[in-house]
Parts: sequence; C-alpha cells; structure tokens
Amino acid sequence: MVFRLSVGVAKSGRFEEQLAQLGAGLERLDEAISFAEEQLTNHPASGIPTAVPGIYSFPTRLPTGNGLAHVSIFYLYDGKDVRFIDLKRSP
Amino acid sequence: MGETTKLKELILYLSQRMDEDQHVGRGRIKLAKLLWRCDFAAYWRFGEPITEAHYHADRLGPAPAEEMLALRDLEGDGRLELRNEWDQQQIPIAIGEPPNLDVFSAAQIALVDDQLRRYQLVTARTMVDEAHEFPGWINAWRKGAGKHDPIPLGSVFWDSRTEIEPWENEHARVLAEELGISS
Repeated sequence: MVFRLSVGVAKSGRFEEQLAQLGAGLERLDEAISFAEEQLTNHPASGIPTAVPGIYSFPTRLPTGNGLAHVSIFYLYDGKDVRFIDLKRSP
Repeated sequence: MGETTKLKELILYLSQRMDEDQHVGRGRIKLAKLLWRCDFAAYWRFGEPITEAHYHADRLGPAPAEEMLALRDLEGDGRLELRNEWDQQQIPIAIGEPPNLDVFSAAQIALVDDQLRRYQLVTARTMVDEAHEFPGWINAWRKGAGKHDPIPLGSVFWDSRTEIEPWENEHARVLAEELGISS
C-alpha cells in the first residue's frame, strides 16, 4: 500500500512501520532518509541492484550511541517511479 | 557573527594545530580536506556542520566554496600567512590574534581534535585519495562534468560500498515473494 508521496518518492506502509521501529534506536535516520529521497528523486538508480530485478538497496551508515550502524533502504524502481518498500539494519 | 566567522576560526585553529603538531603534508590541500572531514563528521554525528561553508566538487575532492575568500580575509587581517616552502605547497600559518574557540561548542572542538589526531601522519595525497572514494563527491563530480557542483551534507550518510551483500539479496527475495514480484 502506498500512502504518502514525498519529493517524488513513494513509501509503503511496511517502510513506514520499519522506520518508526528503527528510528527509536538510531540517530540521524530521518536526515538519511531525506537524503535518500532527494538522491533517488534525481538519480533513481543510485542504489545497488539486488538479485531481484527492480529491487534496489540504498546503503546508509548512521551513528549510534556507541558506534556505527549500516542500514539498507530497499526500494522498487521500475524505470519510472521509486517506492521505498523496506528498511533493514545489517545483521 | 559574520557569515564565515566559524569557517575562518576553524581555518586558523586547524592551521595552528597542523603547525604545532608537525602534521605530515600540512599545506592548503590538507587544510581543505580537514575542513571537509570536520564539517561532514559533525553533520553525521550532531546533525549540523561546524562551519557555515558550502561544499562543492573540486578535482581534489570536496572543498569549501568560501575557503578562498576566507583565506584572503584572514591574510588581510594579519591572522594568517600562506608560506611557500620547498615543495611549492602553500603552508597556512596562523599568526597574530589566536583562533577564537568560543564560537565552537566543546563537542565540536573534541570532534576537530579527533580528526587532527587521526590525520596527523596522513599525507594530503592520501586524504585526496580517500575523498575520491566519497560517494557525495563521486556523484557530484561525475568524472569532471560536475566541477563545482554542490555536495549535500546528507551524502555523509551514503555508504560507499557498491556491491550487494548476501543478506540484502536474501531479503530482496523475501520482499519479492511478499509483494508478488517475480524474481
């Protein structure tokens, strides 16, 4: 389900849920998401293609209270539109 | 406070410390790379840069657009000297009135000191090589087509890796199945 459009990038409900969950434990996540939105609006293929055609990962690095966290933003790009579908911290 | 007050004071502080600590390759190139490191690291850590500078893509990596004018002002005010040494690299030397550290927070100074320590024995050439791997610069520079294009502070969050990791592929397959996308 797509329910919000922001600077040309749509976000799924799942993405918003993950954002709310991860956001509680990570610093600068909002700024990183804003940057990813801006970057992918202008250059949709900036992420790394996964093994699934059309699904990309936009890798980010964020500060935490005691170090660094790697968080990947998963998005769909069909050659036209970008939709953030999930957010996951590196295991 | 003037529009570039913090930039000027940070230039003076970095110049003074590079000289006192006998930094390897303490020239103007290293100064520009340290300014970039400090501002972007501060944005990454605190959500705001230390200075008012805007960074653009230069051949040698991200560079503060206002640096040239700030250096000229500091020279004019008798607070900085650009000394030409044997290798023709200009060395910034803080002279006269010392840097005013009151314009920075304790956390900002601690971050700057950390960067100074980290790069004390690192040459400007190595710092430039590192800068050339920074995604914000790569994206703005575009093999020279984007000379002087702005480098957003947010690009500091962009991980520089270009290869997908196994767990990402696995997660993409799970997502594809859930979303009914054929892989």
